[in-house]
Amino acid sequence: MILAVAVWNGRVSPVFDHSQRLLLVEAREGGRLHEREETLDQPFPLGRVARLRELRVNTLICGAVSKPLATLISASGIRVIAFTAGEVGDVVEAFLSGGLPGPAFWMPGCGRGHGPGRRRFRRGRREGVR
Amino acid sequence: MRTSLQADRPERPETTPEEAFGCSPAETVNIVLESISDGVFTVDMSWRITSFNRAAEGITGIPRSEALGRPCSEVLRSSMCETSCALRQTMKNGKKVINRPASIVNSQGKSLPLTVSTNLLRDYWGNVIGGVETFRDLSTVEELRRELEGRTGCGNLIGHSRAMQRVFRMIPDVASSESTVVIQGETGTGKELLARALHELSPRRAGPFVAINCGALPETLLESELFGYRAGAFTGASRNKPGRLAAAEGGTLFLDEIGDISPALQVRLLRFLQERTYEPLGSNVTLRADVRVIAASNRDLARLVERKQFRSDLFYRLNVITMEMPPLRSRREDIPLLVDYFVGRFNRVKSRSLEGIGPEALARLMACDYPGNVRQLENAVEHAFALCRGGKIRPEHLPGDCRGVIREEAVSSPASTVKGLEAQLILAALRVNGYSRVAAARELGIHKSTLFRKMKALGIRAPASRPKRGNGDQAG
Repeated sequence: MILAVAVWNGRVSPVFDHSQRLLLVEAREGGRLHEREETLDQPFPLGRVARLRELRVNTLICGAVSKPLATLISASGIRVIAFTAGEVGDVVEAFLSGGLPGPAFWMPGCGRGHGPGRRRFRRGRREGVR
Repeated sequence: MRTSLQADRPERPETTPEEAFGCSPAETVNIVLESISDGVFTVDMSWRITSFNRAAEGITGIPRSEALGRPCSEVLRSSMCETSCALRQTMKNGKKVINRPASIVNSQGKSLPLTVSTNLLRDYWGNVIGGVETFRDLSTVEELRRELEGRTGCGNLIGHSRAMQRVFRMIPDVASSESTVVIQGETGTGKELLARALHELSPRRAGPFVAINCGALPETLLESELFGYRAGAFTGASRNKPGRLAAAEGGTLFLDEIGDISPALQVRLLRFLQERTYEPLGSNVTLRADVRVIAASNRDLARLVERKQFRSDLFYRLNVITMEMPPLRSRREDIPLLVDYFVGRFNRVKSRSLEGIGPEALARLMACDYPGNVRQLENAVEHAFALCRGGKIRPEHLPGDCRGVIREEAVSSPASTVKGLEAQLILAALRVNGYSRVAAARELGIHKSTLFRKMKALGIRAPASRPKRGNGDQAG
């Protein structure tokens, strides 16, 4: 399973539509096998989706993401855990231990009410946070 | 030194701000910040938000309580954060930034265009203690601009239904290919929107998107519109005119209602698709065009081929990729989303502030069959905007064809409104599926036994199932 985290300054990048770098984590049975950074310099949505597919990403953890882009990514069969904030190391650990999506890593404005943070995009549909 | 103007004015006794405004300077600033429509926030030296005004809450969709203390990049979520942060630039060189264009993603996942201005924040002694950023929401201006230009983005394809998800799944691959596409779908389903989305996501996005409705023009006019003409080609052709093919150079040509073109024009179009060359009317010079063609039809092209009304070679040349836009009646779960979108759009375009749609009106909209599909729904909401003076849209604001057959007694209370809505949905699904319980349950996404139970509980007595008629052409 390949996990991609959009990163910036050691934290999850604030807006995936404009993120420049990805941390790729190859994981198996809750443990990390391999990590590397990759560039993400495609400015347009389709290029970003194509790059994720080229890198064989299964799950994307990112900050804010516009709805059209999120729809395209999840329509490509990639699970999107969007509106996530925090230190990259903490976020990866939380994901591998099953703690993501979770309130500790919600971006502001997404932890209550009807924002997308209450839901997550997954394989073409948005699902509730469990 | 007093100027002559000042000398003419009577002396005013010195007053403190508290005496002048009835509150302290800090309170005055706070009142001003809370009353303006521009978003304003301040940060400390570690980029954490220290104040966040009411307009900032509205534009970002983030409550102040959640914004305070968080890194500004995670609150504003701007296109500039990673590469060209205006506030960082101001903090670094002390120069303020005025009205720099950017975009943000709000808490609903919507991308908003805005302009940003920044300045330093200093204490009483002039030491820099942080920065201040103001931002102005330009989404209304942008919406109006797009409306004027007749442009819509791929974000305007709306739907969470399975039928629309199938379409969304195809978009990335289809957009990135250079192949000719045929979009099939009933009138008003959004075929042109899909074509524009394919163009805007394609490598040709920097080129033009040129649309032409083949069904709206007589044959000769369509031919000259498409291929252009030379001066003297026909009476009245006083000078050369390039056609839409030339106008679409480097971009995408969208041929709507392709099933309506004449046999003669089918031949010319086939030649262009095969060789990518054409001659304008009255010219013997062959021109080459680098254009991707997307065609659409509300008629079943395969059936037209069977009836020999459409050339099979043109059909197979066009039909490299086929996409189907589903009719609205097969994706009713998207209606609330679409209504929300249209209400927001008409509020911006018409400078209104309707609160949305009431449950009774929504129930009626959900029960319609929509032969005109999304366009009919859009017209219904626009009709409601003309009649509704404020608050929420009610059933009496809807046009007659959308008021439906819902019983008044079914919507007398909130609980019964929900039941009424449920009953109308079930009845509509039954009607569309020839009263087949199994097919209706499948369309509603519930088990057939759940459907039977709900029909019994809601007192729905529907006629026995009848066989579905064969699908004819979906003439628009």
